[in-house]
Amino acid sequence: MDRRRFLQLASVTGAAATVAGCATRSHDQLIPYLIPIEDVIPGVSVEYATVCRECPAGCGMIAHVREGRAHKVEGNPDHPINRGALCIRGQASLQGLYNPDRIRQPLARDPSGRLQPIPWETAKGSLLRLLNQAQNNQVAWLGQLETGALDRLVDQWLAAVAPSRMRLRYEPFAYEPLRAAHSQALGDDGLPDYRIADARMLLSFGADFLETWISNVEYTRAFSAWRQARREGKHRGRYVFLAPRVSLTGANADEWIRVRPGTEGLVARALRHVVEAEKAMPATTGSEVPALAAAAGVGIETIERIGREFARESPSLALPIGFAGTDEQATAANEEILRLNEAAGYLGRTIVFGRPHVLSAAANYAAVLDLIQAMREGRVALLFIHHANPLYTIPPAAGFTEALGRVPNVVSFSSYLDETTERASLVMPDHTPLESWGEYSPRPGVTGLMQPVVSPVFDTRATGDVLLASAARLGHDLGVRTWQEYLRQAHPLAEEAWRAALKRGGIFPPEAESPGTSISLPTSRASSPAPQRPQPPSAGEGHLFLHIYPSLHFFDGRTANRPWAQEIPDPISKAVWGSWAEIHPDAAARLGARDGDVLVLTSAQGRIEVPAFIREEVHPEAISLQLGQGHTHYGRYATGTGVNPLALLEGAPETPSGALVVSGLAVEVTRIPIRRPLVVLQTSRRQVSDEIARSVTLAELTRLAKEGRAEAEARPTFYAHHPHPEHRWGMAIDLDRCIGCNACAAACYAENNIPIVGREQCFREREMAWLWIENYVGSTPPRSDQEPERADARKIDMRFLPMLCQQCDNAPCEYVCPVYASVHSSEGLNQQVYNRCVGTRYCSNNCPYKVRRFNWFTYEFPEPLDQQLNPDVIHRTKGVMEKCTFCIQRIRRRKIEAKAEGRPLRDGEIQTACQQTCPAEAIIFGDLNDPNSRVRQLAASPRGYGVLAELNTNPGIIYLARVRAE
Amino acid sequence: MRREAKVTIVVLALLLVAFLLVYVAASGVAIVTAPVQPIDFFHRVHAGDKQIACEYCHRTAKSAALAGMPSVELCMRCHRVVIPHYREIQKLHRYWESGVPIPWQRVNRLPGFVYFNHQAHTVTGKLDCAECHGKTETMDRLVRTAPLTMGWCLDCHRKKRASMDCWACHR
Repeated sequence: MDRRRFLQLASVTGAAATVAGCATRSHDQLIPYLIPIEDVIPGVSVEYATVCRECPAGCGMIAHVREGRAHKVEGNPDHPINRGALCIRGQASLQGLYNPDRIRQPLARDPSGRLQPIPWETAKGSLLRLLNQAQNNQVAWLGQLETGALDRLVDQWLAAVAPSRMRLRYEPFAYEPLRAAHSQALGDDGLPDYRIADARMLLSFGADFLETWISNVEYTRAFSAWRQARREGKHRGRYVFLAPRVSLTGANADEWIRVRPGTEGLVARALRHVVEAEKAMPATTGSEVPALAAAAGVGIETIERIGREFARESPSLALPIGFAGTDEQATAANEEILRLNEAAGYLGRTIVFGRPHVLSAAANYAAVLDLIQAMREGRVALLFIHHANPLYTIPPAAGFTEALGRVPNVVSFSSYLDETTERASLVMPDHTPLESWGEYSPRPGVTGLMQPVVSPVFDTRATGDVLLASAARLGHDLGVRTWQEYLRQAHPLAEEAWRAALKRGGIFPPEAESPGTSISLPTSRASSPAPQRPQPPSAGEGHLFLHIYPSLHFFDGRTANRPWAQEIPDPISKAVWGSWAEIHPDAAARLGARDGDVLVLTSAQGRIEVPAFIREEVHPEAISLQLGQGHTHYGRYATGTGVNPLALLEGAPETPSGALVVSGLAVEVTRIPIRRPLVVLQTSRRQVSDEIARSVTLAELTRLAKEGRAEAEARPTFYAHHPHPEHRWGMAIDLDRCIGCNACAAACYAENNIPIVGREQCFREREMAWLWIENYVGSTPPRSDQEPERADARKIDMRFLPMLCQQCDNAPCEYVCPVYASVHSSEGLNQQVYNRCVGTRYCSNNCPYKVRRFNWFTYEFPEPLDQQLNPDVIHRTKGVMEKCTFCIQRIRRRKIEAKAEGRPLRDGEIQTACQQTCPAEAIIFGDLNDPNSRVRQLAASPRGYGVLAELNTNPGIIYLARVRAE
Repeated sequence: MRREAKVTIVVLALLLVAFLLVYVAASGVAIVTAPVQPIDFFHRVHAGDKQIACEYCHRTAKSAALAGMPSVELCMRCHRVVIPHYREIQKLHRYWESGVPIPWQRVNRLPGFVYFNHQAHTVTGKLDCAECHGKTETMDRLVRTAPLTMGWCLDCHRKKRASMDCWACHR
């Protein structure tokens, strides 16, 4: 055989071998279990209860696990904190578990100073060596707030292995000024229960209780109940937001009082004087009001109006300042707000003490400064970092980075290579919460239990196990060998009760809540505190007051590496994948800046460049930046995205609380001739003729309820009528409940395998979200004719509108598809058939709601993010159109179950993913054919309407108009 | 025949085989309806002679989407004592002892964009297993008897007045 023939033969045999190889693909095999796993049926999800540890609120969570992969998390309906709901961060916890940038095995520094993978045995040996070396020196532990067993174990372990030690329960949002104010006024620094649902009028001095403040899902539920009570005429209280910037929480208010940065306390004090006068109490110093009002930049009439209303509407509630308001007088301001509540007689009624939130146990920022001092002086030989990232969350000016250089050895238990862990000498990665045993008690009596819902994705070990093993090797007996046993022993329950508690998700108190009784502050302390120092009259020429607020999506930055949190638009700016600085149009005009022009913020400590986002709802003297972005090391999604405003801060503590001062710093702001446009996914807040997101006033609502809604008559259509013999699926979305929190959007991403497209593709408007929140301002003038527009007090008429496929009966998409890939179902759904779609995009062009998404590419889910994919929903590929399906996989599952059981479907049995997670219960799904269904009843509401219904699309989604106070 | 001609025929034959295999792989239709199984399992003996009900092994055929494949442990429950020395059962024992599940070859396969649910057909639709799977009690090596094409599915759906919605199966 010659060479030529050999090559011919070889190539054919090669091709045959390749083809033969294809024929035995793994999905051509059916692999049974060797031994079946109890309770596991292939293709059926198993539900495990656990606790969401994405923030210190500690909501209960149910993980849905299919064949060992967690594909969805949902709130635990039994958990008293969240009752089945989850926020966007909770939904995105799956992307923490399956994050492609997780640390996959222990790491240690090699001689060249790089972190290199090592085996666990070596890591454990290194830990023992470090502990032995540090024997006579100080050991420090900087870890996130833990409760119960792990908290105790860390204490026990430190006591055993380190004769000299310090431990910080570090939370960046530790509410120090609030606790210090309570401590000064009441002698108790516990964070109380704020009974929002029991109040009539709500004042928030900047507390972002719908986003990050203490327990946002819990407070969102309460706020939704408060709005419902108002809608139903049980009270007519208003919600007033008093802060330099309107946050998402503020955007849900009825009125915004524009207070100068750092003058919240002055306003509270002025309001108290009005309340005292109203109640004919002996005024302490009544003549103060004009001066206070002037300092805050708020009119006296406004103060008097709000103050009188607050006194009249009993009981009401004034919520304190949030993280963003923490300036040098934050404790005094919170004390003023406490006294305002007391003067009106609401203390003990809407603010109930006795069940302090566990955040009351968090260390204050001053304690971190003490640690930095000790590190700098070389007094710390060994530092442990446990789920904390101080190099990001502490301003660089505080010197943590330099101090860390003086610590010979740093051991991190982090799951991700963040800024701090990147500087560690030994990394012993912990399991993520979804892989861990554990417990968390956000309030006394409420103990959520955590169990591993999947086996560890990577070669990680529970920190509890590492601690117990090292203690044993050093000859200290902590009683048990494993962390799981330790946790079990901490709960002396019978085995059956323990299993029941695990299944339920924790140990919860009985339902009954004690009614609050009015309390007053001890008289000796009730004497007026020293008046606050007034703010400087202005920030100075070319300067603005820096205002840093926590992020709904990223909290303190810890969830910035979850791509859903990056790609779902910010609820206020609608921007994705980046940072921006919000400034008032007047300030922007002085700088000559337009949206997207790069501003340079300079302080004595640092300098950052960030694009401008011009917004009316920011004080003209303030510049507002979000915390959470600008990571230098935090995986592919967060690194280099946006800026970290903490770089500008002095890092000084507030006295007496010891909180980090984040507000009130005057920074120099200049514009440079560079544009860096934000990727904004909704460019206009105006709606033509008030038609898309509607609202009614309370007065109109009463009239409408009497008259009933005029029934829209069926309009003529060219097309055949669609019969819906069995079901007509529909949805009611209550805009008076929706707060725009994006939880539904994240749930939709998780449930329907929606890909992340990244910043550049978002810029080309190729985002793939099936559901998103649009926000609109009312086009009706926000003031009545009698009162002229005022700068200090503005009515807020923001409307949040979840937009998704409307499942029209006369669907414009269906008529134009040349291949019948978009067709009507017998149950009223617009079916998009991926395997038929050829990608003409005619349907999308013809859709008036613009809810269809085209796959410009086959988007990849980098390993192991692909393990999160829902097996019930296909992964779409390039060239295919897709859109909301009303979670058809959930409809099908429930229908098949009901039919197999030989019973009709129950109303409420089918829950779409967006509905399930909504903390405000704004979304109700059901059968419009069933006259008794909730959705049918809501659809008949006088507030009901269809978006763009004038096009005769006959949508399957009925929106209920938002209710304005006036 | 000359040696070169022989080689040419072999090459052509290989090409034809390669083409057919590529065609099969690309069309997604399995031409092989009775693949060789790692163990010569006889449905005739189990479902026919011994009259074992389908759901004894395919446990979730009436309660879940997937009918379920018997675990190796389930096979061993009987075959620890039933003809343990037979050649094919020896293979089973080797799988069991080495802790490797049996890589059964798929006989009935649907494309990935079809979401079939056994329960909906066996319980709600009251279909007998044989209507799709044929008389397995007469088969030695299992053979696919239904075409499993969309037209075949829809014929039955039409006849039985089952859902004709696309999303009943595709999503």
